[in-house]
Amino acid sequence: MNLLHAIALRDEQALASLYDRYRLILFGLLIRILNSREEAEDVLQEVFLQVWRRAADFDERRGRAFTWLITLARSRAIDRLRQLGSRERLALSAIDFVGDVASSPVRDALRSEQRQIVAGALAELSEEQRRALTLAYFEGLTQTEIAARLSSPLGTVKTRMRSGMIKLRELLSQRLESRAF
Amino acid sequence: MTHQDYQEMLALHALAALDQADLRVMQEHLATCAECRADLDGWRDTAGALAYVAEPFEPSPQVRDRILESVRAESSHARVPANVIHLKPTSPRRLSLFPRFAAIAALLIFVTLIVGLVILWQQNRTARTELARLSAQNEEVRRARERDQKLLELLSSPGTRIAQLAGTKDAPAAHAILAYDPKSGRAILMTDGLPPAPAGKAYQLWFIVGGLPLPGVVFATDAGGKALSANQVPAEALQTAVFAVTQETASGARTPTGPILLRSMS
Repeated sequence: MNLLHAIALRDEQALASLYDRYRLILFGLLIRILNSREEAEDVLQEVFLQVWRRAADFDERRGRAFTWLITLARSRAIDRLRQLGSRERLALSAIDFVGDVASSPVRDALRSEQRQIVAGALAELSEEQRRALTLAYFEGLTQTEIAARLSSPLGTVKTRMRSGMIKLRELLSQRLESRAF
Repeated sequence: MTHQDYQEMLALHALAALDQADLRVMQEHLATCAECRADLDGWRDTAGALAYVAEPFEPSPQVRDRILESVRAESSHARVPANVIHLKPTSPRRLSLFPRFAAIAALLIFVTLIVGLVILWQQNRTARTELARLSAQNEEVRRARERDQKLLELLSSPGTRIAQLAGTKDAPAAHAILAYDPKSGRAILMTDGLPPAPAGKAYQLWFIVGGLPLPGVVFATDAGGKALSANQVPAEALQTAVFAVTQETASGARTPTGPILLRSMS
């Protein structure tokens, strides 16, 4: 029985196990989106309470537990980000994500195999594609907001984002094939 | 918008990057399009993989404690969210089994009660029959004792007369004694040696006064040919009479029809 199924059956220990397994990547994602340890811890707590309440919604036929959990966490983080308003959002300094991936050899020891694969695939996208995707994923910007940020036409941004996602999917399907992530 | 248009929007929807207007029509389309829902799941896997590139960080240990405390608080208040109801956990399954066991248990109890009632009813009926039999037996014993008592009183009374009856040629082995009180006419007839009367027949005592027979008691004998029956001697027969016994119909006769089987001496 998977952990989410056990949680749906009100197994607190299963929730603790799920937390122990995913806390690092989830908290890293929340920090990356919210750029605030305090906000990220607050949202992390909300996410696991949401997991406790909504574990029964998870349908293993429709996708991975990891994806469900990440989607939930990111959605909560972006909701929080949007609640903060434009002034606070500007105050949260945007990290040059691509540069961080490309130039942090000292952190390699902390990186999982999956992380290297995904970062490697992302590095193979064009600069425009990568930038548009990371603005959407880690800053929670919509397609129109990204177009404004990059001073590019909306249609061009949509095309870049879609082509970037298609390429990313191809690269990941080759490299993460038969791996659980 | 065509299905293809929605297909092309799915990747952006997985990134939550659609504008409000596009998001609304996409959600409406997803509600009716299984293919797009399935494709969206695939795009979410791709988008979710981007989380790996975020630097992992360790949250403070208090976060774990706070989460588990909150969960326990929710559980203790039994605020189970509605979405949990849709699962098929073991506890509802146990609940669903309970009425079945309860129904079986109730049926068993009902059947046991019915069987118990039938047994009690039968026992009650048996007891009532036995009681009736014992009552009848008791009544018979009481009557026999009363008759014996009367016989004893009669025999021990100084004025009592005893008449002996001898068997005639039609009943040579029979004999009888009639004891009676000449004042009150109370009498008791004791017979012996009379064969049991055939079906529909009985013996009858007669008081013959001046050649005229007056009907007396009708009685039956036991298997040993014995009988003991109370009588009332008619007033006209108290001083001088011949006592005789014949065999008659079981209901008795007004005048004798059969031969005399027993007859007094005088």
